[in-house]
Amino acid sequence: MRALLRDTASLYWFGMHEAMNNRAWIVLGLGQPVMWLVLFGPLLGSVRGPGLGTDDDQLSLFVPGLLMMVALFGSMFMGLGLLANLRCGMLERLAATPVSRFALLTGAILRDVTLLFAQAVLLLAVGAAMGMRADPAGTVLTLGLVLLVGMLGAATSYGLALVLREESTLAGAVNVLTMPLALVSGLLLPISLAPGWLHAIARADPLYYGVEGARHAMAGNLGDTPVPVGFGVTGTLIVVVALWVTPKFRKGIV
Amino acid sequence: MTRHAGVRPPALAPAGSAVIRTTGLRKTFGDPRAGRRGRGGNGRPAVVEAVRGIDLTVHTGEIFGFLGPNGAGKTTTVRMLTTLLTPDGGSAVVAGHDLIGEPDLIRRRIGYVGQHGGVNPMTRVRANLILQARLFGLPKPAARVRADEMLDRFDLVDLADRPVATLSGGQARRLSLAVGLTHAPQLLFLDEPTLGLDPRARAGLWEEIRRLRELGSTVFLTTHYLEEVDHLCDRLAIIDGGRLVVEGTPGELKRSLSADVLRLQLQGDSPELTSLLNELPLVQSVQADGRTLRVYVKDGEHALPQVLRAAERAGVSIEGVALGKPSLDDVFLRHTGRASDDAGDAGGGSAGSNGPVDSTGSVDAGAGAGAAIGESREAS
Repeated sequence: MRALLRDTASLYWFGMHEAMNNRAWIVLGLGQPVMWLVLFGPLLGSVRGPGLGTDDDQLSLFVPGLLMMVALFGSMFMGLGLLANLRCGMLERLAATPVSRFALLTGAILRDVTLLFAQAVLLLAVGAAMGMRADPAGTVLTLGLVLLVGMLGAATSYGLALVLREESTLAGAVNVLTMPLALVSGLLLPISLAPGWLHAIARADPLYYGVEGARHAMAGNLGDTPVPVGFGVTGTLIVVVALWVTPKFRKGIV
Repeated sequence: MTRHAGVRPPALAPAGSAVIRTTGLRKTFGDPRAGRRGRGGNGRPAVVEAVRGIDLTVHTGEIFGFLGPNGAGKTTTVRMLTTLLTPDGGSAVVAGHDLIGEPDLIRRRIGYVGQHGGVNPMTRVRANLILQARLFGLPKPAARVRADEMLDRFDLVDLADRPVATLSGGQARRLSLAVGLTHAPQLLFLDEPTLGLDPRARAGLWEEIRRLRELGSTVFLTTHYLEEVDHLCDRLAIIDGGRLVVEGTPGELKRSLSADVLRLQLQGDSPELTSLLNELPLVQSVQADGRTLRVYVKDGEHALPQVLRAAERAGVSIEGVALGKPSLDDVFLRHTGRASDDAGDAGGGSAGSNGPVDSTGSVDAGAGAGAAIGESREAS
């Protein structure tokens, strides 16, 4: 157990070092979400519909969706980094050391969650500067849910990477998977605007529950059913995916 | 758990004791895409016996060379001995521990530098050394000190904060070696350590490997370069088709062929000449390699005129003759039936290291490369 914690910490710091050396990520990872907020957010000002409310709180409806988008799209491509480490022989080298196999997964996911946290805080700060009104306790809860969704996405991505073992195949699979998940979840506009059939499909999308939970929490309605449901669905899926991925890290990393 | 124990000078073992001993070690890869009909998607055999039972002994303190044509099972063997692959059969003791039962104890005592270097190009030099020291249980301050020591020893001090991607081939290889030695392993595995290096960088690396032996470490290396084995290795083994075909010191193996060797450059193939030569009393054996005929003889100076007369009788014109001592190249050709890909280095596709599927692939690649070398020699 002590070895697991220490190895997780060592690999976490190394992973952060790796990320900080990746200039492209710093520009894209931090810049893109802000661009969505600044360049797309204002379009919503004159959109009217059920569940959209008035001008004033539209940002607080849009920002939770944007946070979930960052959580999904950022984390689902994390497997590419794992494949880069597989390609350069680094995973093989690590596998020949006494490092805890599980720490390879936990160290990486902890790193991913840290990066996501930085993106989310920046996004919230820009949103606040643009006049978003959000419930403080609800914002903290939303942040928690966003990090859980990111954790789920990253773990899934690592699992897919170890199955597919090829960058272009993984990128294709992730695109095929995330596009419909994102569209049907009501990321950009609440699914309450959708016709009945689309609303029905949304209920099969795990991300939908995360998005709805985040919207309700952000609005300060912490007791609403979608908040615990969002946490429950995401948490359950994390357990399921962890059970799928962990043996792959134990056995199949090289 | 005190992994700390892993970081210390190599334990002094009695000279000549075995640091690796394998018995009947084997590994078979199944092609996951293979259908029930027994052939894989690309017409590959459904099952590849990469290593078919090898008995190998490596003594403490020696530099041991592991040779073989592409796809012979070299990398698979190394990956088993370094605990990266689980053997399907046989047993082995590595660095004093059972390969099947105690892989974690072995990992604490060995170092491994793979063909690809194992260092992420996006990271910086020093961080990799610190991580390696941390993973072997050194606390942070001690890990920093150790990293600085390794930077100094491998002449990387000026490069400590440079991204790995900006290093030259030789510098990157020095870093890989430094990372693999950070925890002072008693047994170091090097898979093709000098592949693609220029002669100067290669000589520098040889120097470093020799220094390891002086410090009491054992080095197990695979290579394509016979020259490397001649310069560096105390003993060697050749693997072909997943089986060990020969094991010994370079001198022993060369002497076991014959006292001298005559290399005849012919204008064309001549099976007739081969049979004529085989009848001469001084000739021990004859090996054809393209249009070069290697004639292994007991006494070169006396054999030479007889051989030339035989060629005349067979009506074969000879473009060139060289008399010399058998080389490792001769040893390799004798035991594998193939010229080594030393000179031409057509072994660009020598990867075979990315798991079972690639290893399967390199079986075909090996045969292909062998053929290609034959052709290039004929052309030259």
